Amino acid sequence: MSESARKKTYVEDLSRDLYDIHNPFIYSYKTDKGLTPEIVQEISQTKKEPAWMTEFRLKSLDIYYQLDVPPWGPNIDELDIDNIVTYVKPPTDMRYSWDEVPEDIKETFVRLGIPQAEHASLAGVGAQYDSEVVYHNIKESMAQQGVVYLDMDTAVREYEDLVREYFMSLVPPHDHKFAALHGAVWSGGSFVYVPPGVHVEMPLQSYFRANAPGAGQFEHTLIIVDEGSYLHFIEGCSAPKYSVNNLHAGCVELFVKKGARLRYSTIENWSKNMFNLNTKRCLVDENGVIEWVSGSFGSKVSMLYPMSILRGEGAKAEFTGITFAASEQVLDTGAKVVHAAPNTTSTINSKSISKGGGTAVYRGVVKITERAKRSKSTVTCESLMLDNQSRSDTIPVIDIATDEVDIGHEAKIGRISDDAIFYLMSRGISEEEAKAMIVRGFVEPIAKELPLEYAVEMNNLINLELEGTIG
Amino acid sequence: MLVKESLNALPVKTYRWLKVNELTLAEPLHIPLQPYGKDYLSFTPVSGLDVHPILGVALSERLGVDHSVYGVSGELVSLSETQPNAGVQVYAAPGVRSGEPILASYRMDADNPVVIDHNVVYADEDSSITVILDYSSAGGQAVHNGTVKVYARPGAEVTIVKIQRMDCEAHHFDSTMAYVEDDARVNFIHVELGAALTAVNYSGQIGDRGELNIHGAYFGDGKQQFDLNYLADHRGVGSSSRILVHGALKDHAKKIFRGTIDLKRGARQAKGSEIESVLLLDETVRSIAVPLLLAGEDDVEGEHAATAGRVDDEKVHYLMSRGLSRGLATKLLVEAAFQPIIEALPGAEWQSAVIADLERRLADGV
Repeated sequence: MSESARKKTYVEDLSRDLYDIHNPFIYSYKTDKGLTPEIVQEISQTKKEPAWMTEFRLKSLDIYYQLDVPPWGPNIDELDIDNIVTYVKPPTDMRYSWDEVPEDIKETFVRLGIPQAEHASLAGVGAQYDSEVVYHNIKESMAQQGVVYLDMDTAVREYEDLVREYFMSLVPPHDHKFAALHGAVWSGGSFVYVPPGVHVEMPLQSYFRANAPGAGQFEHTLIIVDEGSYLHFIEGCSAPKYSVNNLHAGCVELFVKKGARLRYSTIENWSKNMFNLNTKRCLVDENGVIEWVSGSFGSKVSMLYPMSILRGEGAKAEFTGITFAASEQVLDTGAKVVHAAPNTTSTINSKSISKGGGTAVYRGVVKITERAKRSKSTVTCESLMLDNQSRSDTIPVIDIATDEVDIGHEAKIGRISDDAIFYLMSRGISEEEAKAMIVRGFVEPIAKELPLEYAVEMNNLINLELEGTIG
Repeated sequence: MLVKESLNALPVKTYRWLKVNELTLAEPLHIPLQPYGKDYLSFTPVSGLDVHPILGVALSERLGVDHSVYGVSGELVSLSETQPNAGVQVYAAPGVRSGEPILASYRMDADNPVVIDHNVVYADEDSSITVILDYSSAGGQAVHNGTVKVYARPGAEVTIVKIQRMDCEAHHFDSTMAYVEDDARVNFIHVELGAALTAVNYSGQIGDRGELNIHGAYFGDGKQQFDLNYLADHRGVGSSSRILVHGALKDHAKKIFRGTIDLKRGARQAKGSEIESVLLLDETVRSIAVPLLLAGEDDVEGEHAATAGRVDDEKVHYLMSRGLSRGLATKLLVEAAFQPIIEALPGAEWQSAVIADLERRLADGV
């Protein structure tokens, strides 16, 4: 085919207007920039934490000083932690009613559709603004069944024993430098406990909004889904764009007990000044199931590889992810699975689109330990590149330490196929529509895993615009 | 010389806890520098074809061609370049076809336990060369460290075949790199059957419409360890690469496969594919695969696939229902898995030599 006929399909950047509205930076309290034992102690004191937590923070800080920045992955030299404010308290306390949340903060969440969604289709909502949760509530019917959904700070006080047992046991501070940082300065986040046999019909949703420029957000999410129960948890995040760099180093620890099932959906739409160095991990017991659904759209740099540890026989992990890297973005995402018990299963399905100089990387690992007899794993990675200013890399590792396994891995990189376009055009579909159909078709398997309102949003976000004319 | 630096580095690093970014030797390995006193070279003279043992100035220096130092490690490549005790340099004038393969056959033993070979193959425009390098050892602490540099000028075709059947105490390091110019084709076929530790590295830079084909096969038993690294570096428009590696692991054998297809910006309409499959014959084996696919160009097709598992039970049962013993059925299926690589070997003689080795190794207790 001639060069002139090889037109590029232009897929518009995600429209960020909605997310970019920033409120004046008003706070009731913030720490100085940088990181010292004094700052860490100050955060702990402000929160009136028990002594063990203060100690935990200080120990984490020590580990943070000792560890190096990972020598692999995207370049994060521009991230200067000494210039990041680690704790910013909004000018309000935690509220159980939206009416009590200050107007401008409430307005932010209304624009993002959070209170509306809570009313229509959620079992509970948490809303974090900078370092603190400003709203947290759960439907009465859920609370009556014993479901606990609290902001993390309250949980430390009210469920101290549970928190102490589980907190950073799965992602210990020495895991990597940013886990250590998290242990030192974590603030906010959600705590969920679902008692045995409870099926939480509607999802719970926590939304994290970073408004302060040059600040860090370090929320901690701890979810325990007890034996035989079910939960769908949705996490959303966004921030307006500032000229200074922000840092998000959250930590998510999920515990899926025997026969339980947890679906964890994330739509991440941080602004392009955000370093998103987030750690998510799930420990799955016998016949338990973890389903990750992950959409990565925002941030300047992301390093995000949700990890599933299948430690109980028959445990299952599914990961469905889409990453959209546009100009100035390096989104290094993927999934990690450790099969540590017999008859465990994992399925990883990852798609990425890169355009306008953006870099999308799939990085992952499937590790089959000696104990994981008769395990199965299927990994599929597909990358769509929309121009040659962009990059798309696939970096998987498959590590097998036993024989009775069934492992398959497939990856493909390419552009929109000319053949497919011509086929559709031969069927009377315009070139523009053909390309649009192909891109939509590409993301469709992911979109259908998302909660409806997010799927609609993603479709709106991926706005196709086609360059060039036909003929 | 003492080999101590890390070997076979992955072109793009990943998580450290997996320890797959490079091979680190448990302890430094001493490579004694001593002559290799046996004859090793045989070929049929053809007009326009110069074949010499490596002596004096290497062909690449004489021809003033530049080379990068990708390979198992800079240290090992440089050892071959500066202190070789063997090797072959081949020059084919434009349009010349080598006919019969040029053969370098090394039989290491207690008196000649070390081969450090530097090989340069320069195929001028539209010429065609096949070189077979055969390494085996019996007794002594045999070490092989080799470097092969292939320059395939426009329209040329070069095939390099390597058969490694060293004994179970031996160490085998092998760095092979190709410059595949416009419309040229380079084929690498290698079969790794022996040695305690095998660390090999195959790489090629591919120009416009150039083709790089790599076929690799390995069979590991006992405590054998294979560290296999491949890189197809696509620079040219319409360049293509195919990496196909099949193997089987038995006992406590361990293998790591690192295969990279790098589709660089500007390599429009390039195609790269990579297929790796391994048969796991015992629960004590260890198999690691790191198949990278890197793209800086959108107008490309890149794909990789990796599979791992036991010999297909259904097929074993089918063959058993036809009266074969389990052992024989398994043996047949392992051989079948190697077939695509064995078929790529030039000549029935080499094919049956490899099959015989496989059969012998599979005979006891699969």
